[in-house]
Amino acid sequence: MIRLLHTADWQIGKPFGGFDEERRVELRAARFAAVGRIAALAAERQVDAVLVAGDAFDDNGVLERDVNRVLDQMARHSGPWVFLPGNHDAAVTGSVWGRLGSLAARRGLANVIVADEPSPIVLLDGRLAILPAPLARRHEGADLTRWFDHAETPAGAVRVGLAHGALENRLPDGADAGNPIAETRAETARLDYLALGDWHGFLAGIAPRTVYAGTPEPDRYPANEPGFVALVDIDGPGEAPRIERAPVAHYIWQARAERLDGDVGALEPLLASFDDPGRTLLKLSLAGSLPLRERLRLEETLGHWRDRFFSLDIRDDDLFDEPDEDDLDRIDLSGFVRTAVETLRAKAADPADPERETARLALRMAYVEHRRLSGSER
Amino acid sequence: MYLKSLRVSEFAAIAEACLENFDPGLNVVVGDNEAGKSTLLKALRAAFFQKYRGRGEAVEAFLPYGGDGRRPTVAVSFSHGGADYRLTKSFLTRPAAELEGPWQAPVSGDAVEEKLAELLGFTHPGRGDSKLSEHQGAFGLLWVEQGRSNTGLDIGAGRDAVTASLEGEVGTILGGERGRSLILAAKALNDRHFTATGRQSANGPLKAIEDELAAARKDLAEKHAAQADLDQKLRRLEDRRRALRGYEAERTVEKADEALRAAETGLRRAEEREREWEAAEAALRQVEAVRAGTVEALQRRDDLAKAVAAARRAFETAAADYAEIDAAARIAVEAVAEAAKAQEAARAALQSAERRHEAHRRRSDLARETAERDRLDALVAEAGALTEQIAERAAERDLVTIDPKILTAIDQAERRQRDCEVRLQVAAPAVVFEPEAGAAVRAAGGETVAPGQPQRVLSRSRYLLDGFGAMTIEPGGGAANLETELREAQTALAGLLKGYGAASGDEARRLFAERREHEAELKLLSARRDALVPEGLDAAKARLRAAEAAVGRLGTTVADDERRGDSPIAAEDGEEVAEALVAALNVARRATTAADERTKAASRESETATLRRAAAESDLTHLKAQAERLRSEAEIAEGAMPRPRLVERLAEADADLEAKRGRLALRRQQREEEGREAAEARLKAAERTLRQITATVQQLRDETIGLEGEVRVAGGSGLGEAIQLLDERIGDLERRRARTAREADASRLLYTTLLGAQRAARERWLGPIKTRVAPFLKLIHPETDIDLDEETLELKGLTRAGVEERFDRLSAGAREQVAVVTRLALAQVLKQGGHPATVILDDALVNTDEIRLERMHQVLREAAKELQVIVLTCRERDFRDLGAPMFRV
Repeated sequence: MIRLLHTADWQIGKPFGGFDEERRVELRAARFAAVGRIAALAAERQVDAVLVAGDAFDDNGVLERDVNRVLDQMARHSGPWVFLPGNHDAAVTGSVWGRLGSLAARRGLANVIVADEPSPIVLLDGRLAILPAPLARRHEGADLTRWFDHAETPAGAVRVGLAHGALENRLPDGADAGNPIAETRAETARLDYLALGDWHGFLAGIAPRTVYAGTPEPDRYPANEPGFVALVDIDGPGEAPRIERAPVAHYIWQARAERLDGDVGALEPLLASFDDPGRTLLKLSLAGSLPLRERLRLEETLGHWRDRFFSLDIRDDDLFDEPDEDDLDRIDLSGFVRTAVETLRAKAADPADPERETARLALRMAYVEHRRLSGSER
Repeated sequence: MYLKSLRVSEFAAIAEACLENFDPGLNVVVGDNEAGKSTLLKALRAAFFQKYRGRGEAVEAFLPYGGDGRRPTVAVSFSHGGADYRLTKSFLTRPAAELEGPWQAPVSGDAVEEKLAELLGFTHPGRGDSKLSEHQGAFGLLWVEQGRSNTGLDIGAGRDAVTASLEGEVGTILGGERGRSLILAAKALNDRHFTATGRQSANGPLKAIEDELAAARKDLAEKHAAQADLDQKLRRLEDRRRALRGYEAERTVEKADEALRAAETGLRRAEEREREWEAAEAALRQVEAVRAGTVEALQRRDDLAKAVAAARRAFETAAADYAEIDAAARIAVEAVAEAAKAQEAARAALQSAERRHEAHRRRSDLARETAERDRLDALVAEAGALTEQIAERAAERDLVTIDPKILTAIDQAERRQRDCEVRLQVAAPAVVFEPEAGAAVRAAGGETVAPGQPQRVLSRSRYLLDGFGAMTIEPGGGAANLETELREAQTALAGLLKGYGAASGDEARRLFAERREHEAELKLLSARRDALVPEGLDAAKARLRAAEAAVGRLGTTVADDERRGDSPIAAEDGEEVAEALVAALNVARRATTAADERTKAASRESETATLRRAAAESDLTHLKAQAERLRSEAEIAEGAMPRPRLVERLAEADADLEAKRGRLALRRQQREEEGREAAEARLKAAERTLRQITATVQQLRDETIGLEGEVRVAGGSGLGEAIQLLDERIGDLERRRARTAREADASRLLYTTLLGAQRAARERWLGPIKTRVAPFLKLIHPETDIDLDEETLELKGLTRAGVEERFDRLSAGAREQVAVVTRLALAQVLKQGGHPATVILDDALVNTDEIRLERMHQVLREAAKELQVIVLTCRERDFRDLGAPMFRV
């Protein structure tokens, strides 16, 4: 039996520029930690080889220091690590792979294998033949796995394909269709397992013996089940692989949408429903309309939860202020303030007014300021 | 409110004043200057606003001049809100306050102040005096002091009362305190983003974001540039690698190397041809040399034969010349011998003449010297005799040694002795012994002293007196000293005389005379001798000896001459002889000179001839040797190689030359066909090609290595990550900027909307005032509108026929008229609001012209329909026609 650990899309060196410095550092560090957990898992489960199906690095210009940190994290597993150049780290001139090779050699590591040539890599004394389809540029129009079909491998060797790209017709709608891989490749090339990368979620069962391991540490919000590696047991050539989905993620990335109409009462239970907000990155899209007093309450609620979540990203472009009489009465019943508020309200309600949005915000400000002043008066 | 009566006593300039029954409408109070009508207003203010217990400067001023102990008192009756009141206040002296009102008992003391403040809507100062603008409510506005009518409204704290009155009328459109706070808050929001002039603030949040954005974009551009640079390097690296692979695949270097070797072989072949051509050329040159040698040998042979003939001819000519020259030389030698002989004879004659002349001269000298000797001999003898005489006389003279000085000394000694003797005779005591008969007196020496004779006792003397004994007389004083002096003088004289051999002074003088005589004689003798031998006797003797020696010497020579016979005329010497001798000598000398010259000339000629002969002889010898040598050479040459043989050899050489030339032409042609230059050029080209290719390949390798290094360094710098990070940050910043910009716009909109609403509200709010002012203003300044400050309610200016005019730039008259009508309008507003509203004008229309004053009367009458108006004036005439009650101070 052969046991493989299949992973992909580590995206080491992804910058997370949308976050503040503190979170950026933590998110970057999490990616190295994920490699450490993969190595620990590989050691614990005594896998015969670790296959990294592309995009281990986010960019070919990844910092030398980061490459070293990856090698540090890999140290716990001394078996072979087979790296496939993906679209982010294609095997071009001056790619990261030359540097990885020389750094590994410098450390005396013989177990780091860069699969940058389309030719079989035979391991485990001929029991395992890996057929890689390395990307030599970011985007390939042709199917680079075509050669698998005619690849000669030692008799009795388990044939494992290693590729990075989009499996034709099998990915959900909207997936990037670059770097195509024929959906029947596992069959035509008589593969016992086809290890794929590029789709960041864990995806098995989309084609026979074909699996996307996904990224081990999520790096974006789409809900495609990231955060796993595949542990694959293959008894021998022609035997069906047994695939186990093993979680390795630290951070939970979630995207939610919530409609608020008139009041924000539903929000608190939603936010409270997360088990571990400190490890959660939540992108919350809000829509609907709120009177000003509820809008203020919303701000207060979010202010609280913002400090509890690792990251709380609020998208409120579709959430509108709808000041009602009650709001306005609270500001002032009479006098010029009321006149001003009525003026703003008229502007905010007029779809033809170019300052409509501004007027809305101005109204909210008036409301906030008024409440603040009243508060200070009390 | 209206005032009903006012009583003032002991208050400043007013001793006592009482104004009763004020009309609820218009009233005029007339008083001349200094009459105290302004004091009335002051008293009124004191009653209402000044605490009765006050002791401040203002209160002190209430006291009349010289009024210690006086009690300034003001009593006011007024009605307000339908009730009647009577207020009495006394200051400084027994201060007191009392207020009667619609209540049971009058209020008095401090309670009065509180009650008044509450009733009339003013405040008391915490400390110090009550101030018009801060404490007296609307009364600054209502009660206009003299001189303030044209400075504005003095509304001060009255604003609140006016505002309150207005709000009561137009509603709470102002929004009150909350509205003001909100405006301030909106302004703060707006100011975060914008400057006072509405421009985006340089340190606002939007600017900060934009700066950050610009920095990020710049950074991104730099990173993109670095990325582009890296990409370009990567492309170049790939290109170089491909090129290198191409060179290697086509074996370019090896091929170039082979081409080079082929070119080298070609060059070697060309070099061989070159050498063959050079050999042919060398052979030709050799044959040419042989032929030239033969031609030259023939030429030399012919030249030699000619030279032999020429030498023979020259020798013969030279031999003939030599014979002639030799003969001439011999003749010259003979001439020299003859001349020498003649010269010899001339010299002998000269010598003889010289000898004779010398002998004659020596004889003359002898005679002269002999005469001199004889003269000197006589002279010496005479001088010697004189010298002996001088010696004798000198010896005699020297026996006497006295000289004039000694003689003088002797004279002096004698005179001193005489002086002493004379003085002693006078000074010494004279003793006269007169012994009794028989008795004698003897001196100490025993000699008897003559009796009766005075005895001069010069010194201590002892006398023996017979029968008496001895008596010693001791002369005292000068006698004893004189005696000593005398003895010394005597001794000195005797010494002198003895020293010079004279017995006495006279003898000494005689001896001196003798000596004089001797000396005169000596002088005479010496003079005589000196005349004879002025140079001295010894010199004369020496000259004598010299003369004797000369005579001796000359005598010998002359004797020799005579013996030799040189003396021509032995005995007779004379001038004639001498002259003849000299003439002979001169003739001999001239002859000798001539002979010498002739000898010299002959010698010269002989020498010249000898030299010519020697030269001719040398030429002859040389030419002979040359002729012989040439002949010998010619013989040897002919012996070695006869001339016909030489001619034959020349012919042979010509034939050989022709053959060699043909060979050379052939080699040249071959060389030109396959030249060295062409082969070398081909070799160089091949070398260049190889070098070029090698360099290109090396350069490609170097470049590849360099680029790999650079790419390795840049490759690990995280550029892609940085770019992505910046892209994301820029996206984030742009979102933030949009949000902040929206916030900025909203804050501005809020602020401007609030301000606009407030302004509009104020416009509405000032409406009632303007409405009330309008009818008054129409009377004095038609088509005019007042402009009030919305905040302070102070007069800002006028709008006359659409033109805005600032209040402070109006004329004094216009200012006071506008201010008065505005006050009246405001007073009406205040009255409407239930505030006290009595208007007091103290000389408020002094700058107003007659026509307008008349119109102002109308205004006042109109206003007085609603308000109580009290006009204080010093010009009764101005207000006579007003139809109002007149009060006099």
